[in-house]
Amino acid sequence: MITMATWTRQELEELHPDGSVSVQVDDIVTVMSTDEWSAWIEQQVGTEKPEEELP
Amino acid sequence: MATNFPSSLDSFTNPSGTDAMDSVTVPHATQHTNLNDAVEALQSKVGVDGSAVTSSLDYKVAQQGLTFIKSQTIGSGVSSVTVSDAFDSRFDNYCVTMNSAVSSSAGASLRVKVGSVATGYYGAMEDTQYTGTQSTSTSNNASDLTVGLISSVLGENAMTLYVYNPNITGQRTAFTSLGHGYNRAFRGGGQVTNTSAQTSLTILPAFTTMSGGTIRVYGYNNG
Repeated sequence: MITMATWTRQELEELHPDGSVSVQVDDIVTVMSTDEWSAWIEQQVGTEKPEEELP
Repeated sequence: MATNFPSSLDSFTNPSGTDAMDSVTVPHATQHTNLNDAVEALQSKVGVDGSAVTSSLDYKVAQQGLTFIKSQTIGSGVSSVTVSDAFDSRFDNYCVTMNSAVSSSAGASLRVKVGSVATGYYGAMEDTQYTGTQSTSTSNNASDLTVGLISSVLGENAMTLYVYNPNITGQRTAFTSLGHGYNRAFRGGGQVTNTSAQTSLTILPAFTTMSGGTIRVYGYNNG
């Protein structure tokens, strides 16, 4: 049985720090508020990490 | 001189303010005749509304298979990109391309939504790695539809998404997708059960952000 590594909140916060994630509607890019960002991060905790790319 | 248009462009001699009405070089009546002929030739070339004349521009435009609607450059570090006014009543079906975007993580699923619809997406997306390993991602009454893959490698990510009936009230919107990303070729299909007319499309990488690249939307001629 293969067990895939999953994301922790700390790893996700390091990958996507608060203030680095935006939502885009047409040409308008809006940085997520801290609450929106936190909820977005929380959705990903426990999901499988992607494998590294082949060359 | 009768007009040469549309075989070739006319070259008229303009009268000057001092030319007499009966000028030998630019007779007044001839000026009107030339202009009238040229305007009629232009009208013939353009064609009337719904023209059946195959040489007219109106006819040729009506026969065009794909009409470019809009393009959207993807910003930096965005978790979703909404393209508004992508769908309207002129077309039943659409082709959406996306290329040259990268994800902030090594790889991620690409998902889509229409309008503000956030439930009732059903479908499946199959992918095959270069090693031959295959996998399937499913959407079962999900909040969006998985249609493809994206990686962090610039240039390898490309997707063509076909969207059917998004702006037709009373019909579900269906999707099919083809593409490449994250060392995999993928194909997918699905639907959303909402039957309201939608005008916008949102593309979002799952659990990551994406940057760069362009989304382009084209409408298929209904014929």
